[in-house]
Amino acid sequence: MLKIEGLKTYFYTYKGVIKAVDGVDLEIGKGEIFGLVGESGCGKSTVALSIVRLVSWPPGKIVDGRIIFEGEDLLRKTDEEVRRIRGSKISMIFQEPTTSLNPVLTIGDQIAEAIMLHQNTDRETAKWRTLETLNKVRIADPKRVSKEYPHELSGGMMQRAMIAIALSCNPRLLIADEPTTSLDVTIGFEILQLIKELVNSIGASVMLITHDLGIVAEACDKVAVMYAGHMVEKSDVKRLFENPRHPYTQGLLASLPSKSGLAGEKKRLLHVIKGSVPDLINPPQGCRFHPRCESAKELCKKNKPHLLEIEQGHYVSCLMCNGEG
Amino acid sequence: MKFLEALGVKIERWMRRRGPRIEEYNLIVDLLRKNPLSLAGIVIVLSLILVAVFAPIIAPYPNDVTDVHLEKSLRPMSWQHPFGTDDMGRDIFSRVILGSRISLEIAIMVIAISLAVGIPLGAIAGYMGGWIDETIMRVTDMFLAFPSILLAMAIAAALGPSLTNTMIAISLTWWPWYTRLVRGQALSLRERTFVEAAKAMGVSQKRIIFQHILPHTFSSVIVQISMDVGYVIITAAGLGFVGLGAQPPAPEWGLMISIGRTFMPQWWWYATFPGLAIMIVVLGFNFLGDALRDIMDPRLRR
Repeated sequence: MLKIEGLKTYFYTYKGVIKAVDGVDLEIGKGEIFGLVGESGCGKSTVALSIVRLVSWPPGKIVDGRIIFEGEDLLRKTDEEVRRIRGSKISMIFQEPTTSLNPVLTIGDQIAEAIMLHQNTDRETAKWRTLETLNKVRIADPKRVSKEYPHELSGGMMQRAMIAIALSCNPRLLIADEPTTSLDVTIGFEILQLIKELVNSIGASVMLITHDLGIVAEACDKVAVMYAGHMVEKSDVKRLFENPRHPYTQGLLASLPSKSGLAGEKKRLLHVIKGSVPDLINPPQGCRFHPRCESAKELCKKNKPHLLEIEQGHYVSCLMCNGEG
Repeated sequence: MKFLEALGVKIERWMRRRGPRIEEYNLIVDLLRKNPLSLAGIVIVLSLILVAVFAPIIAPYPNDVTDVHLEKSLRPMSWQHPFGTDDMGRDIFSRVILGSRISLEIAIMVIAISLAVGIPLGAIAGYMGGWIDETIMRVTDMFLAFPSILLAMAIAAALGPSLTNTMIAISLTWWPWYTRLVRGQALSLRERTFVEAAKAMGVSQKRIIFQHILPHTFSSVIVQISMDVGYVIITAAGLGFVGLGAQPPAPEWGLMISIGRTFMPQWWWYATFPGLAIMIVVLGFNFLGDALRDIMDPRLRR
């Protein structure tokens, strides 16, 4: 359904070229929920923006790669063609519902706009369909809410409205960029369930961008871990949680609070991956993770690892465990 | 009894729904109470509009635009002629009242033209950026390089003195201010997430500029308009004063001062009353502008 090959998106700044996404491959099947995980600044959102070609120049530019969506390369389409795909076939949900809704337009207007834009309906039908969509995202009293402005709603309600906009035209792919980060845990959980349920009912695929592995475990079928513009591990969710191979993935999993700890058996300090995401203008030579890696060898400083399949459907990019070293 | 109860419930529901809006009104009333000048501004501007609309009814001698009564020229103030008469024996009070129409008409036309040209250009420049922005802004710079009154004079002189040409001349010097104002706002608005979200929904550039970004600039544009009306009136009067605006016998305030000053100081009322009219009106619009700015600035509220 969606296949990304060798995607490179760079940002040309005064300080130098930031290689935010530096050769990423991934594939999302029909109806699949694909998790993209990583720390802040590792290029997750840039991948998402590259798919819908919203990386703005200057300073950002998609330098290389192919993004094949339903058999066609999105990078070869004209701006106008991509614009028609946005919102109708691929739509997005952003992190902050409070800022991604326009404060001067009513909720109803914003949903109706999306419907009228892509479905050539008249105002009456669009209005009626707006109420229907609001109902679908389980907003009580859609009539009232459609006449309200974003500031009159709570964060969870606004995110529901965003979902309503994103799903109003039955897209084939939904890109959700940290949809629950700004919400509290219970509301976030509800929103996640809602997204799962709705995309299931229309048979859409989801690319779920998050830094919360709990959400991945909860919602995703497949998962890819990104680090500093590279993909370091990719597999289905179960395998990644049971048998993480890349040291970064292992670190991420180890830094989750464990349930047994909460039960008070034996308290332990949370694991911390030392250091922070490297400067992407001058990324470390060799494996980009080696300065923070506990099992790094001399080899890791020189040779660049590749994403190789170590078992059926499980790809790892680490010299120590994928046989390259 | 049942009916009253139902009515009570209805009123309560209405109040609850309108709650924020009622609070808004209260806030405005409160602000006005704290700042009596803004109230004065509102009163002045409202009365100017009323006077202009009903000028022929209010003016005691509505025909004194063109009529000549040489037998009663240059009479001082009296009950028949509260502001005295001019060299042609015309009632200055009536002429000042009739002149309000001209001033307001010029102001409305100039602002309308400036808005129609300036706002779209500013929004496009700010949103698109790049060479489009560069081109539009350099053009505005060219217009802003001259003092507006000088440029207006030059244009008016080139087009020939008349009321229409006054409007064109002033409009040409005025639109760049709106372009700059709107561009500045569009520049910051285009970075907001909701614009990104609109793009991600496939909304066209045109719609993003005019539906999503422009409404956000309205509050500052409205404040700017209320300030500008006064300055446009002064500029128009200035053009009239130097003979490049309205032509005699039009009861244009600047023109009246221009002719009246030759009768100073003995027949002082001739130039004084049109001058006072200009002063009060301009002050009124300035006060109104300040008031609107206070009302629309959320930081000044609490």
